[in-house]
Amino acid sequence: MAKNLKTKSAANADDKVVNRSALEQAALLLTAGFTLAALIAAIGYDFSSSRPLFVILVPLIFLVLVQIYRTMKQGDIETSLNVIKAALGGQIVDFAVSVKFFMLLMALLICIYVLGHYAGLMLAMFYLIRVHGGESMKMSLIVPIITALALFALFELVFSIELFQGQLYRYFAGYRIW
Amino acid sequence: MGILDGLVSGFAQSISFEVLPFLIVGSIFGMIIGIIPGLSGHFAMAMLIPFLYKMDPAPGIAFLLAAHATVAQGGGLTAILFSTPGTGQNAATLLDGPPMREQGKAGVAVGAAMTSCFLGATFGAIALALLLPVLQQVVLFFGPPEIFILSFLALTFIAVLGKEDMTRSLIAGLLGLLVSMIGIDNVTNQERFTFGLLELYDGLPLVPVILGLFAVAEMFDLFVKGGSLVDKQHGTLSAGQTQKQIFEGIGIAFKKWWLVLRCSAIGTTIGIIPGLGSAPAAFIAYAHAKQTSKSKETFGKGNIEGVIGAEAANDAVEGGALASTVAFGIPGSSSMAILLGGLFILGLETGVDMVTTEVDIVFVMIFTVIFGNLIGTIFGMFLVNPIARATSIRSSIMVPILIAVVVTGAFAAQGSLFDIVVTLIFGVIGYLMKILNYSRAAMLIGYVLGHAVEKNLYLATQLKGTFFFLSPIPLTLCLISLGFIAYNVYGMIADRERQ
Repeated sequence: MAKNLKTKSAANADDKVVNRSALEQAALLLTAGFTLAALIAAIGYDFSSSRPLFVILVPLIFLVLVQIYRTMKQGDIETSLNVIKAALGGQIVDFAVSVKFFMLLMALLICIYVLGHYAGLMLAMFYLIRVHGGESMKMSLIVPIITALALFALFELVFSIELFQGQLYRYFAGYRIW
Repeated sequence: MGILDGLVSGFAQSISFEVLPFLIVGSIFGMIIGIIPGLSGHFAMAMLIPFLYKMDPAPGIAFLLAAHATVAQGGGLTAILFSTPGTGQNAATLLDGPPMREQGKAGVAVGAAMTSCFLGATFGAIALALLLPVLQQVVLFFGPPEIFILSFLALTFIAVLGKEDMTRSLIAGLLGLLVSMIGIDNVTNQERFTFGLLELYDGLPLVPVILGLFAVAEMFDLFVKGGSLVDKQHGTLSAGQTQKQIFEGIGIAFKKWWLVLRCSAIGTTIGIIPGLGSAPAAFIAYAHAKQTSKSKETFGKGNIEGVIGAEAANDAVEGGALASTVAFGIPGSSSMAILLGGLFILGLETGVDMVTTEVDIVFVMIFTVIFGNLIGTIFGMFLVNPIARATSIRSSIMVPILIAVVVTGAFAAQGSLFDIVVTLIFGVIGYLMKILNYSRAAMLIGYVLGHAVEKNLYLATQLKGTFFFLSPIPLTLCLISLGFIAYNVYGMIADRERQ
């Protein structure tokens, strides 16, 4: 039993290394693409403006290529492609959870844009605590309300910083310019 | 401003009603962040950066630096009580802190650790004050060519000496420099990588980049890992017994003053070198304490000298790190890079001006480190048990609260929703860097140094022509950089051949 558990955890660790290697390869290829595009763009700039870019980009592209070579040596492309496919298909748990969190943050941004800072934050916090965290209804209501009140006291009262009121408020307040 | 004038003015400002409340709040905040595993000094500073826009220089510096100064104290507490270092820099405390707790001497270890932290920080701060006259002279030799090459030397040190892989760290540092080039070039008015977006004309804003790289990235990590911040609680101490033991620990730390002094000197020296930071300093000091101890065999089994050595070095690092940051504008760690960003926001410029005309500000930093640690020690001594409960907060509650604070901070800095977008994008980048072992510190330092690199490259070529790097000091710095990289590459190849 103990031996089986050990083998299973070793296999999980191996999977994580392979996943990380595939993720790094994908990230490096993306970085290589961006840096090459930046180099091409820099060629069109005034020389004084492009000189520091060349100082940065030339060694950067070289190092990115070296790192791509190093990661390619560690794992073959076919395995990496399979891992990426599995990740995009939602089969790699950590990746799926990270993507979910990113989507939640994007949803929070949209909520703030439409409903305003406090309402958007409270809604997102309630969702995270109640639905994702599985906490009690009491806790899910108290924590967002107290946080919003504390932020209001700190930013609006102490530092006199007005937070975003949201498009909905602006619309009803008479703003029609988008 | 003379050094004596600066000292008096700095002290008066530090204890004034305008500064002291911020110093106290910053210290307590830093301590709580330090106690929570996974959240470190740069996180504490990143969270406070948005508030600086509305603050004067002295309270702003006290607020920011006090939070950073007490993080190691909080981290030491968690390392001893829960066998989980609150921050990476407290890893060495794990060697003897938890064994002491198991022997029923947790309070002694906490008291000794807190006092050593305070004494170490005081030593580092005094060392910085003593270094000031030297720095005032040395900094005059550093013009644009020297600062330009020094920036690359700092990045090289960070890449080579940091805990991450060298190639990855160099990539991160250069990416940071590249990101800092976004916006309109001040010299030629050339738009660079702005994609026509008005929001990017002034470059990427500092606060969202810092918050994204360090705060949001940690949120991703906490969200993915889930659960409580500390897996196992080993039972908190009873209040009465704890106090008694803590005072005993304080007494022992003072009795071992010679050990504290030596380990603090190790910490301060290491702090001056960019890229090494607190963790290696603590381990080196621990090794030194063990080597010079009369009871070497008890190290690792609960020897208080192990706790004292590691914690003293931990906090003494700050004095050394501050020296290179304020004198040359070259931050040696992510926390110092954030501090440098904070100084920009407060309208202060590092370098010659800082160490010659704004000496009072340097002394505000020095007194903040000392007072901050003193407040942390007092606060920690009396509130060990309640503070330690912060570690049992579940991430399902902690993450939403921190997200709310981070998003609000990102918006409040400039009142722009675009800044929240930048924060989230850099949060993803920071998280990717964290899991792929790319140095976020190197990226941030590259980003913060970007402006200085560009300005000094332009000035250097105007003043000394294309081959400015052949002047004596830049050439020496260039050779050190190249030699350092070559030596490490050679070491890596030799290791591989041996395997």
